[in-house]
Amino acid sequence: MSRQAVSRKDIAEAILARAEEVDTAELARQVAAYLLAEGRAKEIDLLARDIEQLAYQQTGTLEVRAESAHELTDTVASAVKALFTAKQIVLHQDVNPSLIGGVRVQAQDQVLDLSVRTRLRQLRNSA
Amino acid sequence: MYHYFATNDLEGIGALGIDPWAILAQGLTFLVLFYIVKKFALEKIVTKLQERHNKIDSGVRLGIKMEKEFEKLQRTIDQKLHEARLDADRVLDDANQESSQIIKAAEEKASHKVNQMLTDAEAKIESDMERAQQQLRKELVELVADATEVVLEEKLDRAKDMKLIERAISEVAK
Repeated sequence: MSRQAVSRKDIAEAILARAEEVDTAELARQVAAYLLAEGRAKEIDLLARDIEQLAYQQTGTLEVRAESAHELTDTVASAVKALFTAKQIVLHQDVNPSLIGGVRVQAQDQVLDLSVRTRLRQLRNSA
Repeated sequence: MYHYFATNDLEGIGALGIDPWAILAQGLTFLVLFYIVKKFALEKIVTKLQERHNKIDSGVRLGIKMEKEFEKLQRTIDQKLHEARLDADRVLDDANQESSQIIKAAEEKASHKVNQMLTDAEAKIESDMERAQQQLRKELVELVADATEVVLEEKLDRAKDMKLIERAISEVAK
């Protein structure tokens, strides 16, 4: 008897439902174990996006990731948040010196790449 | 008898040395001889002579006829030769014309081919130049990008980076 795979949307809903009750780290371990057991480890990024979208739909909270070569100042962080419209914006910052300069902003499935590295790559490709 | 006549005619015509009886005898002998020849030989001789004359005559006529035939033949030969020369000249002219046309066609073909080769060569040179320019442009851009990368990695500090980000965000927000 074959088991139907649980959809990512259902998994995301389950995670959000348990997020208030269970420790985040523990929840993450359980999700990882489940995905490994089901052989769906490759879907982790897609699942994360689904969770963000669902959270946004349910609570109006938008998760934004900002990657830059240097740590953002508060002013710049506010400017990045101002690019989006949501009830609540949670900004996650990552420092990546390989970007050289500028910032790469990602929210749900949208990406805004203003990094120097990308600009230089575009310049090289345009030749 | 001849001696008697001779000694008795010493006067008159005998003095001239002419013996009439000898003359008479010779005359008679001639007449007898003439009669004999006429009776037995003359006709045959005449016939033979006539035959010979006819033969000679017909030979001469034949000769004249042959000569005329020869002249006619010669004229025919000359005529044929002349016609043959004219034909040969015509054939030669045709051959010359044809060879001229062939040469001209070959020259035109060669010229066309040369022009085509020149056109192809020009197109290739242009294409090569364009490709070389593109390659040069590409290398120059890469060089500039590499240099910019190096300079920015060195010179772009946090403060300048934040200004860069603010400027980029304000551009996007417009």
